[in-house]
Amino acid sequence: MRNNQKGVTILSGALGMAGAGLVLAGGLIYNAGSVRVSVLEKRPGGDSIRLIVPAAAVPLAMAFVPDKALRDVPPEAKRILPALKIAAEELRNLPDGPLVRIHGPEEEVSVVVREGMLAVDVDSDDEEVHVQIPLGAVESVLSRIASANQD
Amino acid sequence: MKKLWASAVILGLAAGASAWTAPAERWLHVRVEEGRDGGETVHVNVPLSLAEKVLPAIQVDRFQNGKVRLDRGDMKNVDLRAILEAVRDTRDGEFVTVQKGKDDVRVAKEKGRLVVKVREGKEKGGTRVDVQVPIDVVQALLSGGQEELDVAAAVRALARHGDEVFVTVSEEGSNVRIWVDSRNESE
Repeated sequence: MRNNQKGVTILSGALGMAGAGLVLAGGLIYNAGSVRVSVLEKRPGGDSIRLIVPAAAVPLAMAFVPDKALRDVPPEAKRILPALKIAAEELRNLPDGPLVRIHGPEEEVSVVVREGMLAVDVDSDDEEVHVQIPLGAVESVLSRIASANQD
Repeated sequence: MKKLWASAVILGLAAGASAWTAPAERWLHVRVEEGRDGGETVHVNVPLSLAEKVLPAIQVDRFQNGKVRLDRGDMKNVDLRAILEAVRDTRDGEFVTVQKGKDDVRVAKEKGRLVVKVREGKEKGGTRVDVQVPIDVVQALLSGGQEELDVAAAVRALARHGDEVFVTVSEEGSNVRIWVDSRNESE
């Protein structure tokens, strides 16, 4: 085999490996789902924010948040962290369905478990908020906050 | 081939048996509907298994380890445990009946349940309260210390009961309903 032929073979092999790695990584990211946040202010000229973050990036991003920042949680919230963590774990075992629905004159709120996601929708006179978080991501965020707040 | 069929049949039977014996998830539902125009409606659906696991993990003020600590003032001169034990050991019957004008109050034990009925105002729109709680649930609620209510134990006891409505309240067109069943939606 000539040297240039050998180089082409190694290059194509490396490209093939990289392609396979990308496909695998893409598959993993797709499987983990994404965190979707959408906020729309209803006043004229109001802000509209849309955010889509791969859920696989959440634990990675949380690892870079300093413990000090995570310890800055109100004491009331700190005390219910273990309960929230258990709730997030348990929610993964539930079938799809609504947990809370509030239908009022000024706002509508719904909290639903849907295809492994926790979906929170708020439609009020002022704004419309939609949040979808894979339950696995909720768990990893809560675990990280809980570990940073362990005495 | 026969072995394959036999294995498939055994697997099928095992799957069928596990599906048969797997207890259905029990859900606690709370529905509040305000009667006035444009009033709010609130629907909450909580699986009892979730409540059972989450309640003991909550440590907030008077709610600790699934138990609510009662104020001494709340329990002053009332021995709830003694009352409950008396109710549990007694036969079905009426304990309290008050009839005053258009108002009726009735507290009774019926078929293993503590039943409370309140009617204020006979006409439509008056307050109607119906509470019926299995005695073992009340007992579980009082199974903690002298001055606490064991909510987690009550939820565990609740899960052993079938589909049942525990509380209905209606007042001036507003309604509250609390019940347990196997459906994860209250509509």
